[in-house]
Amino acid sequence: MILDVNKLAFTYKRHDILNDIGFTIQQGEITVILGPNGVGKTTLLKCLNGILSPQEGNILIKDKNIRTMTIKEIARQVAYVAQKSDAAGITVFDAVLMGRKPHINYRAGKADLKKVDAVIRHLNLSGISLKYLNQLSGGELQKVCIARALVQETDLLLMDEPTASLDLKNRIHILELIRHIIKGHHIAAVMTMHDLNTAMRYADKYIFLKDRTIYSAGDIRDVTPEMVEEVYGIRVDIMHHKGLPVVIPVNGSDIPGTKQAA
Amino acid sequence: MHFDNGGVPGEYIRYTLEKFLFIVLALATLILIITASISLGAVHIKFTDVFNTLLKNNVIKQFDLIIWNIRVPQTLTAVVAGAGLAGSGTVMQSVLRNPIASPFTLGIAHAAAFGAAFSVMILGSGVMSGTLGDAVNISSPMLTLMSAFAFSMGTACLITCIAKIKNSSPEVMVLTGVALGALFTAGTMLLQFFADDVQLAAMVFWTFGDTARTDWNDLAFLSVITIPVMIYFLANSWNYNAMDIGDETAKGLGVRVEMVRLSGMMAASLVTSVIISFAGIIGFIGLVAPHIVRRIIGDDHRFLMPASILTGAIVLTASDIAARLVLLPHVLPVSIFTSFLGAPVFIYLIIKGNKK
Repeated sequence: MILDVNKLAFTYKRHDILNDIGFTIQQGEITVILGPNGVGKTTLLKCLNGILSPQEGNILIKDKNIRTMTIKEIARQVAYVAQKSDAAGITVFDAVLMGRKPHINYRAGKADLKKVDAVIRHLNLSGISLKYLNQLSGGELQKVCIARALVQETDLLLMDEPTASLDLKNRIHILELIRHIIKGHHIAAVMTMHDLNTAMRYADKYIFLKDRTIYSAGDIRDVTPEMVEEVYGIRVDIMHHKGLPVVIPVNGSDIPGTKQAA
Repeated sequence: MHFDNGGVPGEYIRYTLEKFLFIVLALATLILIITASISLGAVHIKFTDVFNTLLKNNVIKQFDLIIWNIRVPQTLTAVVAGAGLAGSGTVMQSVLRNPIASPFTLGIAHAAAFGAAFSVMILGSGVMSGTLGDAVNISSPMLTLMSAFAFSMGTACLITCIAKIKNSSPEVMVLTGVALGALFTAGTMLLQFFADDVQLAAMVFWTFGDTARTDWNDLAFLSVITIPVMIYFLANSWNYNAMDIGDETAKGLGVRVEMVRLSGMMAASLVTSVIISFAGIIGFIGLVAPHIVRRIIGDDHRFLMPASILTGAIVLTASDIAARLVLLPHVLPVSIFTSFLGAPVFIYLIIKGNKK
C-alpha cells in the first residue's frame, strides 16, 4: 500500500470543503478523482502531498504519517503536477532538472543530468530542450511539468488535470506513457480529471466526489450510468466500442434551464 | 530507478558554459571598472600609479592620500551598493512574482526618505554648516541614518506582517508597499511644506544618492550586512527558480514557499535599507541590472543571481565615474546618473526584447 487516507476533513475559512474522506492506493494503480467543478478534487489532491494541511484525519505515505514529515521528505515520495504553471525564461532542461531538487543537496550531479536527459527523450522533448519555457505552447509546457514529476522518481504521482491542455495525440501519448511507467515500476498515480472517456480508458480505480465527501469509489469498470447521473446530474449511457468504454450524454433537455436550447 | 539510460547532453553543457562565460566576463569588466574608478576624477592618476599605490610600493604621498581616503572607499561603496541593490531587486522580482518589484515598489525608499526628513525637521539634525564645498550639510549624519533605517525597516516589517496575515501572497505585499510608499511620500511633502529653507535643503540633499558620503567604517558596516545576504540569495537560487514556475509546483518540490518568500523579502529590505541609509536614494539599479541580465542569459537564478550582482556593481561604479567626470570640477550625485544611464538602456532593451 502506497497511500492510506483516513477520515480526512478540510475546512477553509469555516467552510467545509472535504469531509470524512478515506481511501487507499495500491502499487501499480492509476486512480482518478472525478466529480463536478468545485467539488474539491484539487483540494483533495493538494492535501495528499502537504500543500494544504487538512484539519482532521491522517494521510499515510508508505505507513508514514505526512504530518511527521518535512515538505522535502514528502517531495521525495510524492510528485505533484499542478493544473497551471507559469512560464519563465528557464530552459526546458533546467525546468525538468528542478524535479531532482528534493534529492539534491547542493548542486546537480552527473547522475541527475542523465536522468533528466532520459526523461526528456522519453517524452520527445529533445528538440526543445534548450528553449525557454515562455516560448513553449501550452501542451509542451504541460509535458515539461510531467517530465519534471517523472524525474522526481517518487512512488506516487499526483496530477491535477494532467491532460487538459494537450491535443489528442499528446493526450494519448502522455497517458500511455504514464500507464506504462506506473505498471512497469509498481508505483501509483492519482489524477483529477473531467473527461470521463479518458478516465475510463486509462484508470484502474475511481473516486467520485459529491457533497464534500466520497460518493462512491472502486474499480473503474464498475462505474454505472446511474452513478454518473447522481454525481453530475446528467443522464448518460456507457457503451463499448471495440472493447473501450464510451460515455455518451443522453437527453440534454432533462437539465433544468437548457430545455429551450436543446 | 526508471530513467538511468540517459547521457549528459553536450549541447546543455555548452549552453551552461556560455552562461558561465557571461559571469566571468562581467567579473573581468568589474575589475577593470574598479581600476578606472580609482584612477579617474578631478586628479587623474595613471593606472601604473594606482597599482603602485595599492600594492604599497613607490608611493607618491598625494596619490596615496587621494586613493586610500577618497577613491577606494567611494569605489568600493559603489561596488557594494550596486551589488546589494541589484541582488535585492532580483530577489524581490522573484518572490513578489512581479517584474517591476524593487525597493521603490515596496515603499522602502520612500520610507527612508521620510525617515531622513523626519530626523532633519523633528529631531533637528539638519543645520547649515556653511563650508565652501557643500552649502548645506547634515549636522548629525548618524541620527539621520538611524531614522531613515528605522523607517525603512519598519515599513518592511509592516508589509511582512500584513502579508503574513494574508498567507504571504505576493499581490498583498506589492499593494501594501505601493500604499505605504504613497503614505510616506505624502508625509515627506508635509514635512517639506513646513520646513524652513535650510531644513528643506538638507532633506533634499539627503535624498540625492551619493557614494562619496561613506567612510571606511560605513563601508565595513555596509559590507558586513550586504555580503552574507548576497550569499544567502545565491544559496537559494533553486528555490527562486522553483517559485518562478508556480507556488504549488515549488511546494511539490519540497520548497517552503512562504518561508523563502518572507525571508527573501526581509533580507532584501534589510540590504536596501542599509544602503539607502548610508548612501541616499539610488534609484533604478535594482530594476535595471537584473533586467539587463535577464534579457541576455534568461531567468535561471543560478546564473541570473551572480550575474545581476556583478552587473549592478558595474552599472553603479560606471555611473559613479561618469557623475564625477561629466561636469568637472563639479561632482554630481550618482543617483542622478543611474537613472539617466539606466532609463534609456532599459527602454532600449524592452523594445529590442531579445529573449533568445
